[in-house]
Amino acid sequence: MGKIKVSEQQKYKHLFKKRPLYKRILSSWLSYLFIAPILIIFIWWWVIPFITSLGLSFCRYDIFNPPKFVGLKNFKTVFTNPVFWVAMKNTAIYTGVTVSIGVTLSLSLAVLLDQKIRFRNFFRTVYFLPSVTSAIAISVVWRWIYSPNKYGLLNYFLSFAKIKPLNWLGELNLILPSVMMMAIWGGIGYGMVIFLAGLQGISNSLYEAAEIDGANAFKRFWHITLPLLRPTTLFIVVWSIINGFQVFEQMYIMVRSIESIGGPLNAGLVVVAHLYEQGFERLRMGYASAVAYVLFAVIFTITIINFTLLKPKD
Amino acid sequence: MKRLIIFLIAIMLITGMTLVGIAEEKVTVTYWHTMGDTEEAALNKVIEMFEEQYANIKIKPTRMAYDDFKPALLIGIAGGVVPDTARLDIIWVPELAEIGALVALDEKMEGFDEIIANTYPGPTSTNFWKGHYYGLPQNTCTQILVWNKQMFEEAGLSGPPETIDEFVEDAAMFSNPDEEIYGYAMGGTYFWAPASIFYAMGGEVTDSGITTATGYINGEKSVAAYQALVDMYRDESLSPLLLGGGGIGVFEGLATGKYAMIIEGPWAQPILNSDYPDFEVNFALVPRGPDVTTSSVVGGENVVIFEGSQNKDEAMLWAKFLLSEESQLTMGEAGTMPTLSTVQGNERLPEYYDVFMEQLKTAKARVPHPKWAEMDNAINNAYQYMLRDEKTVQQALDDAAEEINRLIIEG
Repeated sequence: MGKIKVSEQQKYKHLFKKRPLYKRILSSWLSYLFIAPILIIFIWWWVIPFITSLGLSFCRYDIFNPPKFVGLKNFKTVFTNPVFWVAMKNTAIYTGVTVSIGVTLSLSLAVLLDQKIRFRNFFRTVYFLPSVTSAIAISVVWRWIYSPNKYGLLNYFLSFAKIKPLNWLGELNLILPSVMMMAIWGGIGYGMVIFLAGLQGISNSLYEAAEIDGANAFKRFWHITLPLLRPTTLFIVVWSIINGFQVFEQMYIMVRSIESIGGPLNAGLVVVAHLYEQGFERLRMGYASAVAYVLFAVIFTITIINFTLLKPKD
Repeated sequence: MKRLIIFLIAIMLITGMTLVGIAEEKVTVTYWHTMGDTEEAALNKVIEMFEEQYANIKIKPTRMAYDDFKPALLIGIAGGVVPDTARLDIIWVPELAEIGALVALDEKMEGFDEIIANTYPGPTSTNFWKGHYYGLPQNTCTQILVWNKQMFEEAGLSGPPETIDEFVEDAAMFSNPDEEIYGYAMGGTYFWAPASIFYAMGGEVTDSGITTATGYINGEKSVAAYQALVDMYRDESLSPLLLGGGGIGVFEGLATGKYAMIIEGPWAQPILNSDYPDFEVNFALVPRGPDVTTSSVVGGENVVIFEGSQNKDEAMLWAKFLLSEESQLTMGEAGTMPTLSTVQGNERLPEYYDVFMEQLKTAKARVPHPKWAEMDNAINNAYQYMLRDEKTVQQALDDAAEEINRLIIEG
């Protein structure tokens, strides 16, 4: 940006002089009117709760009695509560596995469906379909697939390989993998579509030039497609990790039992489910707010690391 | 002119309708519950009778799923959107009373003392928390043995087991895991499920003053009770259903000859009758443990009035009506056991209540404490650890005792 010469600045001074705020708002009142609905919703449902919960995280609050300031006690409880760490571990495993496998699969699918194959649009639609279906509906259907008796769909197919029926959502070491499998299936379509859009942006001439230079398909993918998809990959990785850490609905439907929100012995407990249980079932609003802020800090840190590592090179 | 006339007529019509509306305006009392189909049909009859007697009050019942009920109530209380009245599981009353959500009926309800003079003291006491009564006992229950007579006859047994030893022996004899047949099945690991066996064998959660769990939940008798169940699970005489395996529910399994015995409440009769009309339902007392002073577990529900209600007076009339002889009998016919001692033995009540009444004499109540849900969770986790062989019974219950002590101190 070039600087404006001092003399010119003097000349156009009246343009740079700020008019009072209210005048500026009044002069463009119609514009503000148009953005008002979303702004009000945003402030009411996001900004205010965001600030309130920050305040509450330093208080003891059970909804009925006024909040009582307790300093950093809630955060201390969060870090010393073994249940929180179980939830954090499960969430980290869930995010790590679903994001790494999910992003790889989305990219592979996108590259495959970018070729000129028959029924290309049909396949694209099929893979994208789960992304427009409600997580609740998907979870309910998958519960049936994972049904523990021999009539469960998955167990039924396994019976052809003489595998005894497995208790997918009841065995401690099967609960997380079962939900992760569903989450990956449900998530790859969205990643695929974004990657496909990214692929459209890569000029064909690059591939042609590489081909002339004797680069094989793998080399073309490695040296052209992957580097040029960097901004797309960054977006998808960041988006998936944030979503992974905030996972709730699937877990709530799939693993919640009459005994506990996280399934047997908390084998499927994730951070948001822990937060929900503590806040809305045990009415420990202060503690739940502290959990929310710890989760926020974790996601924030990981996102910054992602941006540093995956930032497109100039 | 024509317009003016039309306008005037319209005004008159609107005013007239509004006046009629005001004259007939009814107070609506909302009532949340977790009843089954049969009970709900009986409830509708009770509502009809009530609305006939109190023409200006309308009862609006809402049926909730048991699992979602308490979270829904808590969120409702937090947001100031509560029903006027509800029928709550007895174990929730201390928790909701502690947070100030319930009306102390002994202070605010006219004729409260006369009503509870006619109710059984056991169920009535479940409404008591820190010096006040926060509800009326609407119905009571306990769990008893339900057995598949055909399976017993085919096995050459004359009748159901009378002692825990016989129970364990019989269950082992029936079991044939390859055919998914088990001697005994329970629906989960939450405390209510094994509670009957636990109390029959002399188990205890805390001392009577609720000051400690050490020496109680991890005491000799409690350990023995859980050990017996874990052994049955290992021998495959207890169905894997309690860990979510197998997928055949208790009633379904009992009626189709997969489970020889289950331990359930009085609702077993209407459920089995409607789902399996050909199945002959047979009840028996929970097998006796070495200690015969206690047995089984007390359940039931209380009707409460919420502090957030705008129609407390009308809600009280409804609560009182639910405790009248006529409604207790109407509900009683549908498998909901009355709490009113004055209707005991009434010919309108089903005969099978006799066994439940007999069992209730020695049945034990769970710990009346606002943190009960978390205590239950601690014991449930312990049960899971032992069944999954992650901890020994003693270890698991020692850890549960520590957790419960922590909950008691937190208060």
